[in-house]
Amino acid sequence: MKRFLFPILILFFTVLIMPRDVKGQSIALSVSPPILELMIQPGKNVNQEFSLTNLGEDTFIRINIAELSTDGLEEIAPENRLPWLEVSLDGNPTDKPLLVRQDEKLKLNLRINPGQNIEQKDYYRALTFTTIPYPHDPQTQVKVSQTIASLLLIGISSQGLPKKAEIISKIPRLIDSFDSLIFDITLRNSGHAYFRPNGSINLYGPLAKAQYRILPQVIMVNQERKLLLEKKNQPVDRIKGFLLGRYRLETDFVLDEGTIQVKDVKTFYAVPWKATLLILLSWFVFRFIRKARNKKKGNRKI
Amino acid sequence: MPLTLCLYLILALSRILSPSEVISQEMKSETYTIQGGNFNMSLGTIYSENFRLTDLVGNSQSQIFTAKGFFAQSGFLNSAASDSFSFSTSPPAISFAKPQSSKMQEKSLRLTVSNSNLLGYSITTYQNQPLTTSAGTEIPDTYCSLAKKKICSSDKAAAWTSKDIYGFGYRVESPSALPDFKNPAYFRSFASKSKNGEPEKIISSFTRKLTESSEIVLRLNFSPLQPPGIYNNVIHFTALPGI
Repeated sequence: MKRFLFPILILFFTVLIMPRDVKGQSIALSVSPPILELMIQPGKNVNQEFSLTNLGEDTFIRINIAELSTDGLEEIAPENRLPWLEVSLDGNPTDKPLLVRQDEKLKLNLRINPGQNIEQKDYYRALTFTTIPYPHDPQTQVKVSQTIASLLLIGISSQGLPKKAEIISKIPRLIDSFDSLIFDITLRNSGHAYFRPNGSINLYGPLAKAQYRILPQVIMVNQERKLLLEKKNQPVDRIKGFLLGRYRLETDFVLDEGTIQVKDVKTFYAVPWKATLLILLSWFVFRFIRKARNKKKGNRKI
Repeated sequence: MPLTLCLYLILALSRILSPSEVISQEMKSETYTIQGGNFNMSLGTIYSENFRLTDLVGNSQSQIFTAKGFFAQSGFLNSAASDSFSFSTSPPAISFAKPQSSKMQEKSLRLTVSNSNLLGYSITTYQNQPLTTSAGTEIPDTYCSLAKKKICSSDKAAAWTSKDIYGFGYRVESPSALPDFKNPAYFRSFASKSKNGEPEKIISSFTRKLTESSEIVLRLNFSPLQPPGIYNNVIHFTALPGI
């Protein structure tokens, strides 16, 4: 019996001191889908399922619909809520806080049912899930609460809303060959529906030829947004490297997956003007000093 | 002569270099129908009120829309379809030691976002109220500095280095933190909902397929004149998917 006691004790202590997977105290929520883009005719209805998973500890959450603007989320007063946008959980309204257990997954239903006489335009909203912190302990304490949102971009129209884009380009006509070319191109949505630019910016020149995909960012109605580009999944806002000569920068995209093409061409020149200026100034200073010396020598001879 | 040449060159270069705002656009489509009398023109932009649905949303989408009366997608070109967006905050509560004047206390919390194939994400923050006792005594939000030009606010960070500056503030350490947090000595105060403050953006990214952790450093510096007591508040973080 004593023969086995020692190995059993070793095994017991090994198991005891083995590191275990411990979930620290945290609030963690996951929402799916994170965006809903919907185009719907008045009088039709759609049900969209959303799932919320609690990856942290047990928590109370409040479900709400907020207004989404270019500045972020804005709370909506109960009287200004859209009556045709309803959230439910197992058929019940979600106007009271809910306890969501650790690892629990809630399946919510969003019913979108715009009436026949509704104003035909874009509606930007967000389905929000906000945690409610537990009461404070009897000490100086900061409690943390979080909101996670799924964005709702809803266009209500019987035949589609006209889309219109304007390009505001601030590309200089001359750049220094050693400077980066900064893409200062802004898009303005002056149409009646949001869109995403779907295309690229192309650079043509004697020393460089490059193509950058435009990040398909949402441009809301009346919004102005700077165009961002991506290369190898990383956002870029400038071209670095040596450029020399005449270049053509072509912004070319369609609105969403449609066929409306928007194109803008800018020509600029890249010359090493800073270096040239420096050389010229140095030459001028050199000439000036030489002239002064000669004059001094001449005076001495006299 | 060289002086005149130089001056002329400088003048010519500065004329060429001054950036000019140019607005232009060209719209065309093989299926686009433009009829006379329906043009609107502004700032060099041309568009028509007469459009086809296929021009706006593409062929397949317009067919679905016409047949069903709606068209839904969970992400542009369905790139984000079935993806999820996750946000975690740890720990859910931060306790500070009993008030000790002239000793800054710093505590940190970690925010983690996972954005799948979305175009980045952003985080905003606010507090429900300044740190307050049940009797209503407040710890002021920090101004970071006494110099008028160097004070911080809820939307602008500034250096908070002096121990003689009291109050409550925070800084963000994240690869996607807003530029005013790049200096490690820079802090901001929280916008207070009780004082009609608006949530302020602190983190913004445009990168896809990202799982990113950020650290929020909370700093509390009690004034020797601050009445002792238990001070509480709630700070709130909102994570939005990038669009």
